[in-house]
Order: sequence, then structure tokens, then C-alpha cells
Amino acid sequence: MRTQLAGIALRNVFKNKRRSILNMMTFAVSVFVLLMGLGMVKGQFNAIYERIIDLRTGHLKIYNKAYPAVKSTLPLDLAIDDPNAVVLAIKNVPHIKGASPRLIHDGLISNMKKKTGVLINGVDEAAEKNILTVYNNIEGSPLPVDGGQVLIGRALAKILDLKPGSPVLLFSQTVGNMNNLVDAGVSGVYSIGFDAMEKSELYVPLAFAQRLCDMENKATEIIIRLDRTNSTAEAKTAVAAILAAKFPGLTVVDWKEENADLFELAKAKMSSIGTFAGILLFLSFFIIVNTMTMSVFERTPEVGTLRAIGFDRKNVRDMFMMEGFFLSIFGVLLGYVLAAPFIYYLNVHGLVLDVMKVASNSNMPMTDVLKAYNTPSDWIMSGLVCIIAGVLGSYFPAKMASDTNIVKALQRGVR
Amino acid sequence: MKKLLLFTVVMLLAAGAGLFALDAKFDKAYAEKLLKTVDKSLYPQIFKSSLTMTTFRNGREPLAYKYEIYSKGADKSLMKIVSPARDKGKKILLNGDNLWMYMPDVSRPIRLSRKQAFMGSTFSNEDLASSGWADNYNAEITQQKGTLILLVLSAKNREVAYAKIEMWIDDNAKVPTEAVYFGLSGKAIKKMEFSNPQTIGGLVRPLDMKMVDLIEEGAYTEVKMLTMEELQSVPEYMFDQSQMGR
Repeated sequence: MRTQLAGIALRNVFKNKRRSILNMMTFAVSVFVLLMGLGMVKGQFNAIYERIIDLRTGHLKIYNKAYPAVKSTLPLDLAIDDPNAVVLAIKNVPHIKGASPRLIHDGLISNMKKKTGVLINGVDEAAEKNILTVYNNIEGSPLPVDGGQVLIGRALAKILDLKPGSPVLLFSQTVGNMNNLVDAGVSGVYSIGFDAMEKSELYVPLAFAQRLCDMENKATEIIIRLDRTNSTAEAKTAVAAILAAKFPGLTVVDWKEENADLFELAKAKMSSIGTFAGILLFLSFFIIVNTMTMSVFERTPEVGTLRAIGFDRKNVRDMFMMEGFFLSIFGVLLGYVLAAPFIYYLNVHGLVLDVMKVASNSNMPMTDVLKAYNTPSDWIMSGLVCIIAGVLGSYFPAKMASDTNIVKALQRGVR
Repeated sequence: MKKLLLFTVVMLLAAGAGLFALDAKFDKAYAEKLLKTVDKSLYPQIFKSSLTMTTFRNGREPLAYKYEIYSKGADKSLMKIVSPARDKGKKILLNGDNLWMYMPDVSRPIRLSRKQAFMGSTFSNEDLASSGWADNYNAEITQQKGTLILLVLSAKNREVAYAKIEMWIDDNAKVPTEAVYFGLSGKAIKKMEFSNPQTIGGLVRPLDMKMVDLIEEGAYTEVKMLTMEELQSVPEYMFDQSQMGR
């Protein structure tokens, strides 16, 4: 009986082609949009994570244990003593490509006429070239090991009308909160295609920053780059073990912990995609309810005949629900077919952006190529939710059909 | 010819030495005592005052605030914004090392960082929270120009805002006329000009001040004391951050 019902349901799907195509297209569009939306949002965040790892956080960072809780205030008194000893102790951990101490503090830069607030990064540029990509595109000279030289962002150079060789003043406070002002010169201008960072972050030699902040042989963090992002958990465990044994006052955090705010944003964005998907499915649900209800009305005499020749209410209801199931299955398959070439292109090749022009004003760092990121679970999930919507949407018309009075249905004549 | 040249040099040196020669009384003890007097002049004990604070920056409209201030000792002050209307009701509390801002729209006061600029001015919160110099600086008189003497304050430790302060003081009125603030590197960061000295509460106090930001061209804040009256007492709750909404 089940097979017979399925056969009749399938025949009905093909009998009214126009209506069936409309229903299928509804599901196809839903699947298409869901796949594209999930892929692009996940791809965008993957790109942002990778870019932030490249520009700011590396894969791991070592801090004084008390530092992460108050990191936003950039405390200098919660520093790492003798950071080079720590770097030496961890440098042979598997997957570590580079590690370097840094001293981060806020301050001001002035061109003697205007001043602006900045984050001053005391770094060893030679060591950090293996860790971050900030130093890949520099106009002028790289930072020396020591001395009053500053590497500034392209956007900041524009604001303060600075170029390599320009004199500047750097203002900051020492670990004891004493004000300090020093002369410096612009060694180079970096370009990364991310205005927010180019405006607000500058780099000075670590030894210079240590003097500026009165913190000889100290750092606020050690940045670590791994050979690949997937090795983060393994490397973190190994580094944590070394710290626990040799430097109990220090802790290691990974790039996910460093970018916790960004993860929250990603979650919010994903939930907004979920809301959008919900609206789409709601529409699909109502379209299937509507078209199936029309179908039930049109086929009332047919339902009456089926009931008269022995179909019980459950058989009729199941038949209509199977019809909804088949419509959603075909719609989902059609959606897969339509989406596949786009998904392939976006996942493999991606959208090429001229970051310097298009995305430099973005509040998140972007990559040159924005690739979508779709997993098999996206395909399964988007297909399943559409099929569930189709079956649920056909339930009410199916129930209406199963409740049809046989005599009244036959009175309308058999077509 | 050589003798004439030598004579000229000697005379010039003598003139210079005479110009900047210090009276014998300007010893270390005198300098320390003078600094304490200046502290008393600038940081009176219990008083109520009102003042205007106007900040000027190149290319921007002047930013003007009027405050009503209650102070107790050198380290407790409550500043109420009287104008402009959009900020009326906001309060800033300085209590020891802590600074708080109360905004009527926000139920709890917000803690301010000492290094932030005070209400967009060229003063930092730390400048205002300063409770006098005598405790934290060694004083030495290094120059004299008529009644003006240069008091050089050197930080006793590295936990204070400025490594050195050079303060010109009118030795007759015992009030500062100018102070230049230096960072750890020895570079000047800010300059304060004091003017309009008046006798209030038995001491001569400069009622007008101008803080010039030396790292931003054309940036300065003018403070004009409008009224100042000594009080017998001020209720302690006024300096409790949990009571700032009262």
C-alpha cells in the first residue's frame, strides 16, 4: 500500500507540472540562499581570523598570568621579566615557526602641529617578519634593532602628513605612570589595506619602547607563529607545559581567546543568517501550504473516489504528505544543482577584492580574496530543513483532504 | 687687542653672573619652604569655588565648561558641571588616587583613567588629581631674575607624573608665574602660565591659569577662577563615589 501511495503521490507531482515547478523552485531558492549565506559568512570570518592572526595576534601569545583579565587597560606593571629566556625555552616546541617579545602600550604621536592617540608596539621587526605580515609592504626602511625610529601606517601618515624621514614626537607613560616624551623619526610607512589599524598602530624597536616605558629587559607579551593554524591546540599544550615547569607566573592564550570579541560577532552574524533562513523556510512552508491546499480543492472528487474504492483517511493524508515530501526533495536537489557551480567557484577561487581600495575602510581586516567556506554539513542541514518544511507544510492540506466527506466529494463529479 | 677681548669676556661673564646670581638665602631649606607655600596657595584646604575651563585647539571650536567645585584637603574634590546645558549634572570626583565621573543617565559612576585628558582639555586627569608637589619632589632654586626665582623640582621617585618641573615663582607674592613640566627623557611636555594673583583666605593665589600643550600646536586650556570662598566644613558624603547621584 505504501508503494502504491508513493506512486500516486509521485504521479501527482508530475501531473501538475506548473504548480510542482513553482513549489520546487521555492525550495531550490531556499537551499541556494542558505548554502551561499552560510558559506560566505563562514568564509568571511575564516578570512578575518586568518588576517588577524597574520596582522595582530599570531597563533599564540604568552602573557603574565594576571594580564589577560585586564588586557584592555594595557597594564605595564603586569609584564614578562626576561622575555628572551622564555623565547629560548619554547622555540623548539613542534610547529613553532617564530616567537618574539613585544611591549605594547598606548600613547600619542605628534608631528609638532597635530597629535593623535596610538597603540605603540615595541617589536623586534627582524624576528616578527616570520610571525606577522605587517612588515611585507613598507615604503622606506625597516625598523633598526634600537633607536628612535617609528614604523607608521599609511592612513596615519596621511592624517599627520608624514613620510619616511619625518621627525615626530612620541608620548607615553612609564611603568610608574610618569609621563615621557621622546624625539623619533619615521623609518617607514606600512600598508596593509586596513585603515583602522593603519591609523592606530605604530611600531618602534623593542629596546626603544623599553626605555620609553622605563621597562628594561621586559615585555608585555610574547607572540608566537605556528606553521599552520590547525596545530594551535597541540602547540598550546606544549607551551603551557613548559611555562608551568619553568615560568609559573606566565600563561599562554590562543588566537581564539585573543579574538573572543570577534567570535561573539561571528556568532551574532551566524544567528542573523539563521533568522534569515527561518524567514525563508517560513515562506517555503506557507507556499507549500497554499499550493497543496489548492491542490486538495482541485482534487476533491479524486479524493472522494479514492475514499470510495477503499482508501482510508490515513492513506489519503499520507499520500498528500508524500507529495509534499517529493516536491521538497526535488526542490532541494534542484537547489543543489543550481548552487553547486557557484559554491564550487566561491570555495575554490573566491571573490577577488582590491583590499587597498574596496575594504580598507572596513572595520575588520579583509583578505585580497574572499572565499566561501562550505562543509558537507551545510549541504545536509540546508536540505534537511527544506524537506522538513515541505513535509510539515503539506500536513494541514493533507489533513483537510483526509477529512473530506466522500458523498459531497463525489457529488462534484469525477474528472 | 687680546687684553681688550679678555676684558670684554670677563665683563660679560661678570654681568651674566650678576644677573643670575642667587641671594644667599635661596638655599635648599628656603626652596623646600617655598614649595610648601606654593602648594598651600594652589591647593587650599576647604573651599568652594566656581571656574570656567575653556580649551582651544587649532581648527576646532573652543570647548568651554563651567564648574562648581567643593574641595577638602589636597586630595578630595567634587566638580559639578554647571554649563553647557548638555553636560549639566555631570560630576567628577577626585578622591586620593581615584577619579570618578557621574552622569545622570548612567546609574553608577565610571572610573576614569588618570592618564586621560580631562574633559577634552590639555589637562590630564592626573594633573587635576595632583595633591601638591612638596611630598613628591625635591626643590632647588637655580636662577633669580629680580623678584622671580626659578624653582626646579626633581621627582623623588618614578611614580609621579613628571620627572622635573621648572617653576618660576614671584618671591614677593610667593605664587608661581609659570611652570614647565618635563617627562622622563627631559623633554618639556606642558607649560602652565599663572596670572591674576588675588588674596583669598589669607593667601595670594593665582586665579587664572593657562595650560599649554607643547606637543600640539595651538592647543591650550584657560582656567579662570570666578569665585572662591573658604568653608568651615564640607560633608564627607560629597566625596563618596557611591553618593555621587545625590
